[in-house]
Amino acid sequence: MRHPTAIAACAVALASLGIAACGSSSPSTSSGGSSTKTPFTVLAIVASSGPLAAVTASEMQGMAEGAKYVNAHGGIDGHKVQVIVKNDNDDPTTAATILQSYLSGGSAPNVVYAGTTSTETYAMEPILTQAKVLSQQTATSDQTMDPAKFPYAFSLASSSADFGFELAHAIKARYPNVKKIGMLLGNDVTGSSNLHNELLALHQEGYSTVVKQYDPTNTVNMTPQLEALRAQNPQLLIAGGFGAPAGYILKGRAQIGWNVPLVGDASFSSNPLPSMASASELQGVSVLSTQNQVYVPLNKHSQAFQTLYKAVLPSSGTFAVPFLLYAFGWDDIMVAKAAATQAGSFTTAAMVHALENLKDPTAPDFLLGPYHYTASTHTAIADLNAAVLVSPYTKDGQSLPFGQTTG
Amino acid sequence: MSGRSEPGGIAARLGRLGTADRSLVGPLLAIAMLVVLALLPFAGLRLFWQIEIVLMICYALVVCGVNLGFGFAGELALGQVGVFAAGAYLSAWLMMSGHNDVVLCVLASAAAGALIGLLTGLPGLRIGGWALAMTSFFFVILIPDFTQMIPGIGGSVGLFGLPQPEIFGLPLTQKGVYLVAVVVLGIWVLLFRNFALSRHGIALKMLRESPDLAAAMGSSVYRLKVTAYVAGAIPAGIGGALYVMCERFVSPSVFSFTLAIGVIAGSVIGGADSIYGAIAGGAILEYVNFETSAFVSWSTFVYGVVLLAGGVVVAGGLAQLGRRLVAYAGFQPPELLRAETRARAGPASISLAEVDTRRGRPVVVREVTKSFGAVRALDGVSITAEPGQITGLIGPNGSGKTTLLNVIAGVYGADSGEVLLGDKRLSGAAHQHARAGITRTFQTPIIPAGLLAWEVIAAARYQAEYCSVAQAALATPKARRLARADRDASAAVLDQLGIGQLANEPAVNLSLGHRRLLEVGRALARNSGVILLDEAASGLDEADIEILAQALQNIKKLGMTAVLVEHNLPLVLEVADIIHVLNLGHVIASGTPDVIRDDPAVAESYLGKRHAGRATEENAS
Amino acid sequence: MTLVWAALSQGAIFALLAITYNVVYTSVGVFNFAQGAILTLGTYISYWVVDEHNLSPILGVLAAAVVCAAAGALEARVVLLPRLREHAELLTTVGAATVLIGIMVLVWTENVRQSTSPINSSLYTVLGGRADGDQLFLIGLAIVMTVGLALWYRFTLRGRASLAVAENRRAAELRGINVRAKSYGAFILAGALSGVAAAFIGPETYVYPELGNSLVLIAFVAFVLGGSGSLVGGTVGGLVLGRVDAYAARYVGTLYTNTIILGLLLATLIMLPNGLFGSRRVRTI
Repeated sequence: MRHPTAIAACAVALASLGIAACGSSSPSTSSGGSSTKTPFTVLAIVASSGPLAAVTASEMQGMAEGAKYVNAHGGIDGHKVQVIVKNDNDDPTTAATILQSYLSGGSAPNVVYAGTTSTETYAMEPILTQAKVLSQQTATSDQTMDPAKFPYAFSLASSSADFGFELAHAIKARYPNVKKIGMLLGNDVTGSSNLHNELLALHQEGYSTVVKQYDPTNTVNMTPQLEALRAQNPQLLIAGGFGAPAGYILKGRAQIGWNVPLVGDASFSSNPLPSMASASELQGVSVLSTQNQVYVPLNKHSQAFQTLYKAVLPSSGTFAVPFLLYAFGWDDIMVAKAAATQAGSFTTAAMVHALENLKDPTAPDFLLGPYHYTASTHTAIADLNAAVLVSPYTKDGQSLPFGQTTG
Repeated sequence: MSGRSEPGGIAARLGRLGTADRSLVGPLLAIAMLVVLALLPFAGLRLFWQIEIVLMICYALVVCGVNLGFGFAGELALGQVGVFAAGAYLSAWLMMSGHNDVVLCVLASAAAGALIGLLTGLPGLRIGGWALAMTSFFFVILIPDFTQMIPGIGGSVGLFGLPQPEIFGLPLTQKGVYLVAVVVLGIWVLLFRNFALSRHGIALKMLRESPDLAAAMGSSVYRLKVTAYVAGAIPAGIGGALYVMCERFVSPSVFSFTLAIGVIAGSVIGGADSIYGAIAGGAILEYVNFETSAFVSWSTFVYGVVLLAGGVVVAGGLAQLGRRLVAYAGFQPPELLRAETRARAGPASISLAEVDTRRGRPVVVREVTKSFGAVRALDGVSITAEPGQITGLIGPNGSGKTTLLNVIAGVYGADSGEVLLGDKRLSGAAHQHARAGITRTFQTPIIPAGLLAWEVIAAARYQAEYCSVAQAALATPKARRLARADRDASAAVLDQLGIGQLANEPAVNLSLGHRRLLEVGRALARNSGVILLDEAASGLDEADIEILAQALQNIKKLGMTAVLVEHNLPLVLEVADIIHVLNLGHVIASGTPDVIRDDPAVAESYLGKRHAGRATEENAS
Repeated sequence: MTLVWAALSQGAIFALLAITYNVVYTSVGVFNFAQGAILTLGTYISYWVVDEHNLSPILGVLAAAVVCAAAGALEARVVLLPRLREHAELLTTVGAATVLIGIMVLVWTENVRQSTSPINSSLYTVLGGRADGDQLFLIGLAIVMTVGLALWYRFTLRGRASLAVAENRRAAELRGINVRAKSYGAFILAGALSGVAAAFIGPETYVYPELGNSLVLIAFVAFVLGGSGSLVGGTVGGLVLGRVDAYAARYVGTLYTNTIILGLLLATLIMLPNGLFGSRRVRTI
């Protein structure tokens, strides 16, 4: 074996070429089944790997089911809906590059679902605006919700400022005697922006606050932060975070024996809390949600809800993530369909105009919403009265009312 | 005489173009590739690929920084991602504040890079090796924290939607940014190449091989390390500026652990000691980063496999592979070219004239004591070595000979007593002793890898007639003149030592005897007045010892002061003018070879009482 | 006092990881970046045995130890293959860690799991502070492992042979010590120790693929602070850093904890290059 290194290097090079061929970056132009009408393409560039993989997977599954439903009922004026999902590994550079590859490949999509987290969204929105492509998002990237600068960007969620007010409103309703609130959130993108918005709302509602943040990437114990907060004697604790940090907060609170009520914000409520904490650790814990997510027997729900529910229910019978996430994916398709159908065309300008003037913001196909978009508001408007605190326990993927542990 | 056949054909003639000892094949290929790259967008290259290539160039520049640090200087300072981030954020901030001129941003980021490289490299002056690597590696973790500590740069969200970059007032499209990136890369490669081939590059290779060697050649190790850090940080900063120009956003999540390890992977896979390897490495980094995401849930696994494969399989990197391919294709690498240096006239006269102007001065050791813990290695030793003489230092193992030599060279400080060169007291660290005029050889010859024989000698001239980094990078007339002078001087020294024909051989391939001679040659080339030889004869056979003895005679003739620490008694007795014998830290005898030969105390120290008597009898008879 | 227990148990986790770094570094001279990922693997194995298959917790501990030891051996095979430069060793160990994490993602997905502790993990009040059984056990485990290993290295023939290999590979080889086996042995031992610790760490930290990455930085600093190669040092370092981290978080705020810790790392490397307990070596030419 005269030149093992050289040969090995060639082998590696060939192998990587092989990998490259398989994971080809050039988008295939879709022809779909029928060649009569071009499909309506929805391109989702999301974080399918990394810590948020489960969240993304549910949203994408919801989207796939929504597309199936639409196609089974005649498509969009006869055009089939096609969903393309691309993984950006939660990296904004990769997200931007993938987007560019689609935009410059001559097969621009009709709608882009821009990212699981706001970092990806921020990277993609300027490109989408320049290319005049309609985009939807659920990550709360507030700076892109400015129709003057980003006229083609719409959010399926309410603005994060609204999240803050929802939280304040829900707390006031449930805990009218609380005056001072402690807050424990992460210092990553989501945590920081949530903190900003929650503080804004809470202060406006007259609460005084004490704040501690943690670093989600290398904290394994929240006792120090909780001790620091307890020393200031707040009457209630707001917690934020997704994944292990949520568990640490619950554990730490139990360990130091701190009995204040704990309210989980929007990010906290995405956790499957009963599988992460014991019953004693969940004492006095509630999470932010909306009225339409509180448990109601399946047959009382809309046709759309029942279809999606049955399609995505795991074989184990229990949901690992909130049903809300699947619903977002589903609604993504339904809103796009509503826009395209009302506009009678797939051009961005027409669809934007339709969205800003939706005839039926509460269509039966929508699971969430209502989507009262206007020329100056591209977020789903929150109904503050619909915001409630619910139990961390779920039944059939839906939240149980406050204080209940079983259905 | 080299046994290799004379290469023929166009390939070989191309290879011999340009300077006698550096073929232009590499640079010509590089220029050709750059021109092709620059023309691609006009030939219809898709926007996506234009962006990809700009990103590859950004990462290539960062990897270049790693290579400069590690491949050339042996320093594992891996903070280039931090510098990349700093350059990107600075440019982003400038653009946001309305200063979106490309040239301004690139220069500002380069300067910021240099500054931060200096700061983050400072710890490296005290730490080395893997500890430095891990520390600078972990600094990546601080980037998100800094973006929140420093106001106005977007915190954890970052800065996005940045305005269009301009050049001299003209707005730049993506195509324009692409061209700028290609030009910047070209300029950088040119500067880098000049630097790497210059005395600074050689000095850095000395540093990589052994900081002791660098110090012995009079280079301040600190200064060299700082040079490496700053030079390695500049391209990373420039890369940051280009990134922001292209992507028009910056956020902390861009500068992740994954990127940091990817940069190292790019350096290893591309080849850490090659300019072109850095470019290949950067390209591969971006490509792999992008492609693995397509594997979705398998992407982490696939990326890990690539890293593993890179570390295990590709030893020496693709650059090594490239060199082999070039050799197979008939382009003879420069080391096989016939030495045109051989034909230059009058070597002996040049060196004599040069050295005569710096005749050796006496080395005076006065009452020097040195202990290591409880062991007293030197106990009040006083000797004098006169110029134009060879002073031998002998003694059994543990007598303190090498310690004394190290004290004179400044490697150890004496606990008490002093060392004088002429009438000037020597103080400070090894490199300061070296600059004062002391040169020493090492027991095991320290020959940096990747240098030719003549370059090893030329390395000794780094301190003489200094030329700055900038001059070397720009290949000014002064720098080129110095380079020619270096080659001439080396050739002269090699001829004098009788190994002129080995000038273009890779030094590590030479026999032990020849490598020893190179060490001696270094001393000659330094034009220092004093040479300390540390067991120069050990491991040599008869024939080589003859050559060494001859070289020593030449040194004597040139008027230098030579101190010879030796175990080889016959050699010392033959060449030395005066011999001092050490035992257990004391000088037990001094005198001419005849006197020492017959001294019973000397025999006793070597052989013990019982056999000493017999030895002196044999000598007498 | 509760904060003290929390800090100590957090420190114990870092210490346990630092111990495994030391075991490999002492024998092989390599800093095994993948040790954190191996620890994470151990937490998954324990979870899999106890929570997914409802088997005995003792079996969980054993299974974790065995699987992690095997992972260590496999990694040794790959990493020790060629005689690599430091540069490339960093790459291969990080690559090994990434591969392991990739496998765990594939098998168990990114969802955070809660694993059950082999011992009773209810809350106790000790010396006026509350701590759960796991936390107390971890502190004890770190101390026991450190002392046990230190004794083993000092007083058994095999242990001293390992130290000999670390001191001078060639010389050890010439004395008849099977250097290759010792190197593999170090990885295997480190893996086994990781596995045992993992069974008790998982319930505290939850089980998710990136767990190792969360721990690696501070454990590395503990390793250096203690003096690379010193077992006692690594453990003390871990406990100290647990305190520093907790108190920084409590009183200064999270934004600065990383900076403080890295500052400590730098200070140690510059002022105490041999750490708190490492041995001094005189330079020789």
